[in-house]
Amino acid sequence: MNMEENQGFQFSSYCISADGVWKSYGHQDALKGLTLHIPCGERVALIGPNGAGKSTTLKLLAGLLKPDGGSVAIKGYPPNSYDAKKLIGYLPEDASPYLTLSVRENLEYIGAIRNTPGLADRIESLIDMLELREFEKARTSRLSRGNRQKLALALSIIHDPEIVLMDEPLNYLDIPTQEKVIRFLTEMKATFLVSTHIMSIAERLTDRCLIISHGNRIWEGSMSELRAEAAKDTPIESIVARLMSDVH
Amino acid sequence: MFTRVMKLILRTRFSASYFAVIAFVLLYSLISLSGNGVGNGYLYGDLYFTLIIGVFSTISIIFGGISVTKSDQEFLLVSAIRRRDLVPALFTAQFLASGLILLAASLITILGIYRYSALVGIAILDVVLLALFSVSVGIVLTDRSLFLRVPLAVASLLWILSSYLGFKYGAISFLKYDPVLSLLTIFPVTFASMFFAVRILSGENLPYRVSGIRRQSMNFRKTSRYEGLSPNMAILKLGITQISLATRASSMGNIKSTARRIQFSVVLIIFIAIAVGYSIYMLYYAVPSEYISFPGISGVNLVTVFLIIYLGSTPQMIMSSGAMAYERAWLSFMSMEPGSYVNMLIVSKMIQAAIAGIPIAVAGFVLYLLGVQGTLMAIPVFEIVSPFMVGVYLFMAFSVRPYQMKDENYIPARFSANQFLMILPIIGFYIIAFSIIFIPISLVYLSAFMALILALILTRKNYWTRRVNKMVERGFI
Repeated sequence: MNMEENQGFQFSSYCISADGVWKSYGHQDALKGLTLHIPCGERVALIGPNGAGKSTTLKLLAGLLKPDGGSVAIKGYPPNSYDAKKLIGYLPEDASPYLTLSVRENLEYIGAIRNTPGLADRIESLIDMLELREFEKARTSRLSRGNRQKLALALSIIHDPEIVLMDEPLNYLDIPTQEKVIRFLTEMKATFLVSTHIMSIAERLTDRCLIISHGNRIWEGSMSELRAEAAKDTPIESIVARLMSDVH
Repeated sequence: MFTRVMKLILRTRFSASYFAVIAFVLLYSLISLSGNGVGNGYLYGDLYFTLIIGVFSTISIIFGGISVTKSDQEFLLVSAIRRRDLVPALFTAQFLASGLILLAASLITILGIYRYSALVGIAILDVVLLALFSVSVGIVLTDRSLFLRVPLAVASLLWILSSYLGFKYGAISFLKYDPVLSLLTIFPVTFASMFFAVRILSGENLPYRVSGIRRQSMNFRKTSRYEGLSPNMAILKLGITQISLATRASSMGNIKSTARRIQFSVVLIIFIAIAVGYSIYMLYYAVPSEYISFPGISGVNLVTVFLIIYLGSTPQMIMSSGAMAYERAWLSFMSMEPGSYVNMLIVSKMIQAAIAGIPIAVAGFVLYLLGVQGTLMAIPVFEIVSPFMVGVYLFMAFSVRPYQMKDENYIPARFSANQFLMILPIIGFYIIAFSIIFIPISLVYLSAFMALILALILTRKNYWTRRVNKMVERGFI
């Protein structure tokens, strides 16, 4: 690692950290001093109402946006540094792969520019796991939304990232594929921050929950702590809805 | 109801700046009519007009379709709106998007040629009808395959060029013969094209036609391998061997996008064929009257000038347009440092442009060796200026509010004045190419200038990191 790559590095015991982050789009504040710290290996669900700032948080952590205030770090590196990029796997909401490439070309191209070791084997296993074999040569533009999402998922984790940022990863997937993907992702040894609206998915994919609303954190804790917030037999969705409405 | 639909369509498709630019150009054309004296500003105006109408109608036939947004498809077209309100609104919007540009770009030439003629009204009618043809034929071919589009494009081109071959009733006969004679074919052709366009727009199955289910195979016939390549080699291979087609909203008459890709080898074969045809023409058919000379400057054949000017710029710009529109920030800019990625992408498209130009450059060199005057400058134009302009074009495309192709068959962006900025690299190319063709010594100075500009573009790595943030903020992901 040369000096240039080291620039901006600060030792951190957290894999994902954000301190007092502000982000605005014009006059609209998306994040208002958000702070979160996720230790390495932890799996956290990012939950919040529409417009809470979930997607903005993930884009900031992925280095695709720059905070207006505060700081963001990935294992101590600035998110837009090459060192951070090597660690992150990011899947945006409604992700669209390269439309003019085939399924396999997408995987090979992104695998190549990510300098992925053992790329051939990795592609084969992802194609099999996500049942994309029959679409290997297919035009991505002609894929169904579900198959496009499967390809996007494969592309986001092709380099076996240490830190995975996902925005509604199971959107458009059928139930058997959802099951496969959940099993695959839970077996991955990585730190996860997953934005989702579906609590059942959050419960199965993650151990902890971080609820944000109006650009700020309103609750954080384990899934069992979240359940403990309410009486027995109350759906977890009701608890989350109550926590969100408490802020309004 | 019509007014409300029209207002909605105009507001969702066009910005005020777009109309301001078009209005300025049209006004300029009209004001130029009131000048005194016969100007010679319309030198080769007929060739210019032929080129404009040829390019617009061909692109409309090949890539045309019904111009709608995704929201139109999902809400407007399925709403309970009477066809008599919807059809004129849809057609007018489409005409404003491409027909009006054609009029703005060509009217000044026609007004210049006919400024003192009593037939100016008929000539203008011819041009307006040709613009209507160009728009309506695209609508008629909405869900038609390339197998029908290509022969039609050839037939349309023949109709346009027939006046040069002596046919008095061709599409542009009003430039050579008489505007009334050309009206005899323009009127029925445009009437038929308009009739079918209106029928399609009024049809029950309009929403399905727009939905973009094209007769296209699911799989690519030929795919490429990137496994085992280094990051830079992968970008170079993709950038050089493939061409993804995409144009800014409405530019060149194209009004929608399809995720179309072409193997570069196909384009290379076309360039080789053109180079062979050009060589044969120059050796056996070129006549002395076609040579342009200025005092102290040796003569250059008119065909050489037009070949160099148009084949050295437009195809290269089209070939590199998709490099930005189909880019995916969440994949490429997450995999590499954005500056390195964009630089390599630009370099790959510059190399592609240089390779595409080799057949014409070789033809120019061989003709020079055989004693044909004014062909040698094809080498620097195709091998230095064209690639340089691709670099500038891509730099601008990424910098000037880039749009992204996410959905097929819909207008990818609102029509705004920004899209006219993309004409600047082409104008820059014309100036540099003309200078080199007619004043060869200028190549030395212009090469130094181009090297400096290119160095500035390719060394601004941090610029791209900042630029990516802006692009993502505006929805580029």
